[in-house]
Amino acid sequence: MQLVLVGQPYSGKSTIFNHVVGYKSLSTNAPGSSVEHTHGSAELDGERIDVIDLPGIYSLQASDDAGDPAVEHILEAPDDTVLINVIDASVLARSLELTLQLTELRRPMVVALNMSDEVLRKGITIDAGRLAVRLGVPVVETVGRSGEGVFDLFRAALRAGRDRLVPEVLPGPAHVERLLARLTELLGDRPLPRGLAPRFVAIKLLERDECVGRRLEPHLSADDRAATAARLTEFEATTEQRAEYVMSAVRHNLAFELFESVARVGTPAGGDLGRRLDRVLMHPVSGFAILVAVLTGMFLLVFRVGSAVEPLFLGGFERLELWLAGMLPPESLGYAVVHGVVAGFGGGIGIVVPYLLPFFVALALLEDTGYLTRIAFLMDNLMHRIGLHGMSVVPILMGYGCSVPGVLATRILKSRRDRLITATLTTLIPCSARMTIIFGLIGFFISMQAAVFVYVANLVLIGLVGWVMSKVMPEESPGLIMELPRYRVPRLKALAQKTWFRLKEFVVIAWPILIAGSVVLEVFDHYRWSGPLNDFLAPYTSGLLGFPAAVGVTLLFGIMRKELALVLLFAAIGTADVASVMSTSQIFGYTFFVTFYVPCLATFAALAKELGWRTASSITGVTLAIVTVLTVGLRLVVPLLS
Amino acid sequence: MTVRLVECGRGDRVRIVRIDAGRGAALNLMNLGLDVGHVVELLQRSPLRGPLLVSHDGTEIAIGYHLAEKILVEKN
Ligand SMILES: Nc1nc2c(ncn2[C@@H]2O[C@H](COP(=O)(O)OP(=O)(O)OP(=O)(O)O)[C@@H](O)[C@H]2O)c(=O)[nH]1
Repeated sequence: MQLVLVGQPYSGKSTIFNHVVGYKSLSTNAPGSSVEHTHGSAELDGERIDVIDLPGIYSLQASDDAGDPAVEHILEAPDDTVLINVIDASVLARSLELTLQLTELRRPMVVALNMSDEVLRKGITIDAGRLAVRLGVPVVETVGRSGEGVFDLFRAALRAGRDRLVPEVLPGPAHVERLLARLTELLGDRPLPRGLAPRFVAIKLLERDECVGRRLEPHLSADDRAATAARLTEFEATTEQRAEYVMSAVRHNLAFELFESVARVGTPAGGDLGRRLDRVLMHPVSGFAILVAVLTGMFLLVFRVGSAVEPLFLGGFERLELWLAGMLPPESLGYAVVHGVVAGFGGGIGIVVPYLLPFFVALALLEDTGYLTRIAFLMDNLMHRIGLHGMSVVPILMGYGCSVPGVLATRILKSRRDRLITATLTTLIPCSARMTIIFGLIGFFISMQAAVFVYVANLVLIGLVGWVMSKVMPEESPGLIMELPRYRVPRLKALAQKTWFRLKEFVVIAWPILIAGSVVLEVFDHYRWSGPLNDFLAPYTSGLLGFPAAVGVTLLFGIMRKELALVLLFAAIGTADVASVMSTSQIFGYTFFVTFYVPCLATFAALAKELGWRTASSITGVTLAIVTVLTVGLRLVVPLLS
Repeated sequence: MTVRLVECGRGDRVRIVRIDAGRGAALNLMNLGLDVGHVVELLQRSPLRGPLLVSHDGTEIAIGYHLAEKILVEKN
């Protein structure tokens, strides 16, 4: 039996899912946390159950013609499916609108009145028994966070599946029912797409729903379609409103009537703290001041923690390398390979643990408190100037930790164009590996201010690239409509799980590539291929960009591991005192170039995974071109300034 | 008095009288309870045509400026 969790965003589906099948679905207090559906299975009272967590939907009514993957999934679910409608019971009236639409599907179903703790706090009492009677299916009160009632819910779902407990349909006003009856009659006994109830199909015809419309295409003749259109026009002549809006209003009234018949609203315990918080946190002046403070604080903290911890790890690996040198002849190919593996492994740990871990913890905190969505709101205006909207802030922010999860996070954006632009910008964000280069070269050999300047200049660059891309790819954006989650106190367990979930993207995608890259590099070095390579690249590296010819090889291998460029540079120019060999403008130009010229191999893989190889290659080509031009520009301008 | 939502001030409680947006946006608004006849409270506005924050039925909803321009409301 297959149990499908369906509900509006933030209703707590993922939390309930994770409680039953273990941590698989990203449960967060930010929209779109479950972008794709997540499968899981568990055992309940000796029975195996398949559970699916779908992305949150507000309605079965498709608002754009592309359709919604979650809705498609529901429409195509096999016959033995039981729907578990998870409701945020503290906003019951609104949530019931989706419930009413689900009842039209005439499939076995149960309702979870989730967030019962919030309901109590808000002083609402809900008569679950009465709701169950009106809907004709089991209704179970749950608290997803603590797991209270969750197993009862799944037991009820199994029972609903076994006994085929199909919900009652609540009829609308007479004129709408008449139209629906006529449409149903018109469908007659034409074979309908598998599993779709005639009344549901009639409603979808009334709503001019493209998604169901496409499915009906082969089942309806041209005459049928003309007859449907005629009935709708006739109906709209009397209502003077589009039929889909009429239906929406009907459902709204039904939901409200149902709500009033089962719920009593009392006085909330305690005031509305969230509202008061938002008055300050979302204020155009204080809100921005706090945003800047929060983000700066977060970066400083991550940097502090990271730079304190990093030497501990790197020290360990240095000792390991020394020990290796004693074990294997340093000139052998075997040593080169083993050394490559160790260095790649150590490089991964050296970055992941010190910087990425605290970064992801901080980000998870922002998310689970509900602040991340507020950041999206505050940044929306700015992001519009570069043709995006507020939600793009999330991947970009994540990119400061590691570009790989950043690029993967672009999934939360609906349109491919937004994903493309945001992914490109995300690769241009200095990740923690690149941070070590910026501070290790510019910060160390020039000045801290100059290093910070790189970050500011980077933001300007991102603004410019975004602006140009949005001009090249204009799009009429439907505009922002986004529900803001309530503020919540984050749970330690959820934080830990989420952090691990993100870290895994680094471990699984980026780390193996780091290690492989490192081995290739060692082998390369073993055969002393650097010289010919540097000569080959010289016209570009020293001719055009003005770097010492010896850095050619570092640029090539910087692609595999950005932070490696720093170590390689010392080796290539034969000293760690970079300033003795390179001029200030060369150091500046080199750092800038290495940091931004192309995404590292792991990021490239992530880009290819999300957007395809060709797009990933074009993004790489474009960034290389932009950064070449800028570096040449720097080369010409910096000497004039000093 | 009928005005556009963007012309209202912080703290105003207004009733939606018309939504001039396209089908997709209108349905999205309806799904969040922003439908003709409903009362919303304007919680926050942002400068330079930034998004607006409204509250309806205990839910806070962000609406882009250009969409908010198409929402006509009645102050009372
Ligand atoms: N107070 C309270 N909070 C809950 C409850 N269930 C879930 N939450 C919190 O609500 C937030 C949203 O939960 P999710 O499980 O991510 O919601 P979702 O419906 O899967 O959200 P999307 O995947 O974005 O559609 C999280 O911060 C949870 O910790 C509950 O019963 N009570």
